Amino acid sequence: MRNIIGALSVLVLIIGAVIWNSHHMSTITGKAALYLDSALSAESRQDSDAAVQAAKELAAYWKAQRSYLESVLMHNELDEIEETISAFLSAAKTDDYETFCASGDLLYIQFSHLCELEQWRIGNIL
Amino acid sequence: MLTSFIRTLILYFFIIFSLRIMGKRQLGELQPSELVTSILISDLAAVPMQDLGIPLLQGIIPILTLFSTELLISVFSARSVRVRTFFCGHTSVLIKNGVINQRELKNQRINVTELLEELRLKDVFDPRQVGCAYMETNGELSVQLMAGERPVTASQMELDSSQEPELYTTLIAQGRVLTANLKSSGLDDTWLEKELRKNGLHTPKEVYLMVVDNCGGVMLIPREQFSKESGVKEG
Repeated sequence: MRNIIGALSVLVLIIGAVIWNSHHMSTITGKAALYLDSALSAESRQDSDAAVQAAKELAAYWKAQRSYLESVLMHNELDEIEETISAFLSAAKTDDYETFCASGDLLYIQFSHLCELEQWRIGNIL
Repeated sequence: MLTSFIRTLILYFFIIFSLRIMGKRQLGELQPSELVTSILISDLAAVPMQDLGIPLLQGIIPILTLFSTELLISVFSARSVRVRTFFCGHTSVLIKNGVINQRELKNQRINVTELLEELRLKDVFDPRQVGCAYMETNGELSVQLMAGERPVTASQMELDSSQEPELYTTLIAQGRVLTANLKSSGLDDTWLEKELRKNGLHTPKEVYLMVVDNCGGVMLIPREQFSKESGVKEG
């Protein structure tokens, strides 16, 4: 009986952890997408200062999540996102509108890819 | 993380199913679920070890999932015949009363040469001498000879075998006294010292191996560095 309880506890713990991780990942990417939205909308209003500020907040937020993300995601995927965030931030600072929009769009795709990766979808499993 | 968890479970049951289809002779000495766990865990552990870009959790979660599932299956297999049959299969009778069950041999994908080889490994050279030959769930062949072909036992000969040693207990291994064994044999340090002195030794460190049987017989092998004439002494 002790064996069953032990094994079931481990399985329940794992299932709980993966559900929580799925939820947490969508929260992280959702919040990052909000920063991204505000940076892009500020740029479209031609408010460069607000765009730079939002891009900085996005970079800081992502950095704060780094240790958690490193423990659950493939490191090369994280490196790619960090490169894009860095390009996005420098484009905001230099008023390079084209690079800013392009890296912003790429970030949207990367965030949604990360979020989708952890969803309970048959496509992910197969 | 979620994907690797579900994938692990899917792969686990998939490989068990494949091994069950392949038949028992692929297994060797392990039960199907044990073999699957061994195969998968060795590989799962190797990947995050070699690739530092993969988080350790990606290896740990599947391994924990496998261990827990394996544990659950083994517990349920011990409790339910149906579960055990599903995961481990059932024993097959390959020879009965000296007659080879050709259909079962075909089902198990074993040819007659392999069967004869397995029998020879059991010191049986004529299948007609076999009363029953079972292919166990772990792929091993168990053979029971016909009553007339079995070796004569002491009880059949009505011999008194009560004085024959049956249980051998190691008391000293490479100079170390196994206290628990000494106690379980009903012996103590005083007896040990006396036995050592009887063999011209002073401390357990001078002993390579000391074994006692249930009839009080002692086998003592001194360590080479303490004895010029290394050999077995029986007392």
